[in-house]
Amino acid sequence: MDIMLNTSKSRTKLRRALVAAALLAAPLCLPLQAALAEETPKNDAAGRDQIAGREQVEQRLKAAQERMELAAREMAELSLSLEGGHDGVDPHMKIMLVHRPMLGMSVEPGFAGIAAGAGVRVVSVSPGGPAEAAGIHANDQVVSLNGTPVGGDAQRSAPQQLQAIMKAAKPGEPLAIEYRREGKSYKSQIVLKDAHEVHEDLDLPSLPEVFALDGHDGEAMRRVMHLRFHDSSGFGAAELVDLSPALGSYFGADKGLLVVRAPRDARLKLQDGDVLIDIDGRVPGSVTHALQILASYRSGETVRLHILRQKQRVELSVEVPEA
Amino acid sequence: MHARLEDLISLRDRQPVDAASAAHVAACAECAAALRRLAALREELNRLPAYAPPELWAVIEARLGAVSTRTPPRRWAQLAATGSIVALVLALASSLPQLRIAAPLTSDGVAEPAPLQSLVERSQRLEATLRQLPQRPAVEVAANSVAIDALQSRIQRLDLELTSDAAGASDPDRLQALWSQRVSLLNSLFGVRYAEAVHAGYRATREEGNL
Repeated sequence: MDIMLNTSKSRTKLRRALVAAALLAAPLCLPLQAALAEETPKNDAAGRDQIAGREQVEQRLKAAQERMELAAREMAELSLSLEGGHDGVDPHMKIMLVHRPMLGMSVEPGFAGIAAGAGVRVVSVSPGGPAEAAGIHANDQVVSLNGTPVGGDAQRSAPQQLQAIMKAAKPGEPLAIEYRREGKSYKSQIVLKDAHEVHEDLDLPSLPEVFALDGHDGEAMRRVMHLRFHDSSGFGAAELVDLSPALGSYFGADKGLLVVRAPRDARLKLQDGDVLIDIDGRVPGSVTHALQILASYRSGETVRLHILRQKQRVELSVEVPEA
Repeated sequence: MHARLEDLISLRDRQPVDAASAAHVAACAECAAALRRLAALREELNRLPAYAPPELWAVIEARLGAVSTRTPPRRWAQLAATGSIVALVLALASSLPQLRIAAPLTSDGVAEPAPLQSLVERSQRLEATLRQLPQRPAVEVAANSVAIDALQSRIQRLDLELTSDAAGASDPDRLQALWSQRVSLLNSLFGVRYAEAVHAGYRATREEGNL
């Protein structure tokens, strides 16, 4: 307490001394004050210029970042179109029509009769695939899958052994995988993915049906496959997040996509904070799925979006704008 | 079970192998044919012209100073032996389908990556680079998300095809085309993933109030 009182007294003395010094020095400082008085508006103007300059740079930075995104998506679209057939439909789509479990990696070729040794070398790992999720890298040596050694035997090559194991397994079932990397052994679990699953996600007619159809559905499928994802003028510009249980309870929905940032195009009627529940009754399972559903509509067609806005269910009737 | 490659090479070189393997090769038409191919290959290698050491080697040795004048012939013998092994492996690579991703020798005798091998290596480097990117953000720009999913799906299907090619006979041109597509798609995937990461970083900075 004494210390505090002493400190308080000291501060008071110091303040008085400063005021006295200021009063004494005031006449001496008049020219300086005048100069400062002139200088202050200049500083304000400079500060405003600086802020305006910074805002301008920020806007240019944002625009550059958007251009980069656009260019990257255009590159993606072009590299995908390089592989399309003359009609734009992926000629390898037949693979998707077969229920086929996949590991999401390719392995070094081999042939029966000559053992590859203890395992088989991974040559590539599909980004976003099961092997990547299991932590497998290219050049890892897969020693066993589901407890069965793989490395080739008299009857089957190592890839054939892997395929045999996969065919016997069910998609979604976790399989034990053992692999070696730089002399060390690792164990993980890999969940086989059904190659058909990609197609089923589209919630659209299967490819044979598309080929058999000359009408609207066939065109819809083609539009989905030709999705112009480099175009950020429509729904593609939306920033969305899949509702987690916590977010869902906050917004009063158990599933849906939260619109974090709505597209700039006011005709799409979406607002920040909306929760997209369904599109003409079709419930989007993911952000990609939502855009694929929306892409199946022609320009000028009307799509009904069911959303939650401030916890109230609202139907938006939106005319799909020109791409 | 067929004979291992090591046993076949040992038999060709008249080195001892276990009796069961020798008996199998004697009785198995496939293994006998493989043995004949290996023997023919060695004959072809033996017929190759002698390789003269480049003059540069003498200059390097002179600079090193520590090498005796008797060493070079021994070194060259070792190099020749190593070269034979390399040549054997490379020749085997071109003759056996399972090793087709191998490097050929140029006219100078220097190994350079074959286009296919080069593509595989580029593909692996791109995969490693993708792993360095931050995890995908929870908030997705719809157009980016679609592009990434489309690219990943296509790469997954390519890998399916590569695996099915590996199991059976494959057309080398087709294989090359598949790997070329894979590299192109991975390049594009990296571009979109990178742009997405920059966008997410920009959003985070904006939300923190710095922008």
